[in-house]
Amino acid sequence: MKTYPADAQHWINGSDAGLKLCLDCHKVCAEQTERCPRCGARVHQRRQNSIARSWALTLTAALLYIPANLLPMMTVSKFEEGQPQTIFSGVIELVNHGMVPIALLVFTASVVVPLLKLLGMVWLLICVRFPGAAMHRQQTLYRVIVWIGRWSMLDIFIISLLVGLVQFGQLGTVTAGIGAYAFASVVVTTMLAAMQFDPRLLWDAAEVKKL
Amino acid sequence: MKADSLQQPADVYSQSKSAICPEDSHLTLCPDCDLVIREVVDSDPARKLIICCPRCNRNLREYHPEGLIKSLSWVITGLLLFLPANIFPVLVMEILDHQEASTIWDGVMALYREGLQGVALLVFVLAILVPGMRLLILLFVMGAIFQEQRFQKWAKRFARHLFRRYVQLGEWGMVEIYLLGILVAVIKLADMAMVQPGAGLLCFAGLMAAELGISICMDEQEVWEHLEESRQLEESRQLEESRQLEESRQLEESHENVSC
Repeated sequence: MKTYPADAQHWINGSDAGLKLCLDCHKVCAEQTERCPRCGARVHQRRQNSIARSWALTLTAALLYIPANLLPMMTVSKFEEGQPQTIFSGVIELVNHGMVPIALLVFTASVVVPLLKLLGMVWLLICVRFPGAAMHRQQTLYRVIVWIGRWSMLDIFIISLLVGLVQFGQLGTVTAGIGAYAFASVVVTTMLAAMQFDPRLLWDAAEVKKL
Repeated sequence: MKADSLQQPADVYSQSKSAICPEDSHLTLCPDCDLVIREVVDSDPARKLIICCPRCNRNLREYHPEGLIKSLSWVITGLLLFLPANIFPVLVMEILDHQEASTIWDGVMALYREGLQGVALLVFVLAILVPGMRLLILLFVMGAIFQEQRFQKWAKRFARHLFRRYVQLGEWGMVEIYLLGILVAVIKLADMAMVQPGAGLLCFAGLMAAELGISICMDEQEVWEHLEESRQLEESRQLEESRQLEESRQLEESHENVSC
């Protein structure tokens, strides 16, 4: 963990120096520029309405997380009998079949990661409001959230594969459940929430507190 | 870290505010913490170079020697593998005498038939459309860089626009996650029936390797610099042309005045 060096006084932020950064092509633009001359994107000092959009998407995802865990994701039936499985009961079944490593993988990707991502986003949004001194830790948390977010799609891909592959009529079929909709929405909305969040606000907030 | 690589924390801009000018090409801002940074770039092009933000430790750029041509070769590899990865079945399953083979597209269609159109669309976009689009975009952009003279002005502008889309789509191509999904599905099905990997799986794994190669070799900032260079060249050429036009017109006018 890096600490905030004591000689941080001479560090200049782009916003103080009258500079903006194009987030798409990382070109440094003057403050009055509206469109990046290189790639044509709109250039803003900070992401527009970052906090409000991020809150909205995070709360949406939190609401969707409930049906995603309660509704059945898929039904595996052999000889025309089978119970609809939710995420959690699917994991339990994997454990019962002795496939603990896979069960852990699916459990991490589908239950733990979305939950931690939601809590992490809420934590970051609160941190912007009430700045502390732990910017480095918050920055790392943000990077982890962004990086890890995509891996929750794993379950959706597995369902898509199973549904396409296992169509043997009476011998065995896999059908997808409505929970897949909710779960896919959770993953997409949390990814969008993380993208809307502007980590520079964390550093701004810390600066304000120091003054 | 290898001996030939160099990890260098970028220098902090410590001069007075008035000296900061956005035209300075060594000047960057950290996209994560907004620190003004002066890149002190080691000019030896044969060395690997990583520059990171001194405050928040974000990687600002990763330069690889010959990175662009290497990533072009990866792009072509990826495009060659893309079609077979989607045509051939990724998994083949056998119960008793029934055999069922499934491509990625089959999975999408199956979801669609079961009434989960939104999820089907999502899987299609994330596993097929975005990876393919990204490779095609890169081919076009690399063309605009390596065959600069042959590209018209509008094509170069289009290349900049496309590369911007490429950067934005970065998170949404999920080839490696799909691959992990295939592996989990194989293990899940193993006690139910005979499952064999199909030819598509190999191509799909190759596609993932190509994407990995691109992400390692390609320095996005370097691509942007090349695109910017050609844009500035074009602009100065245009300026020159318009000035010549102006001069010749003035010359004509003065001739007319004389003849009158």
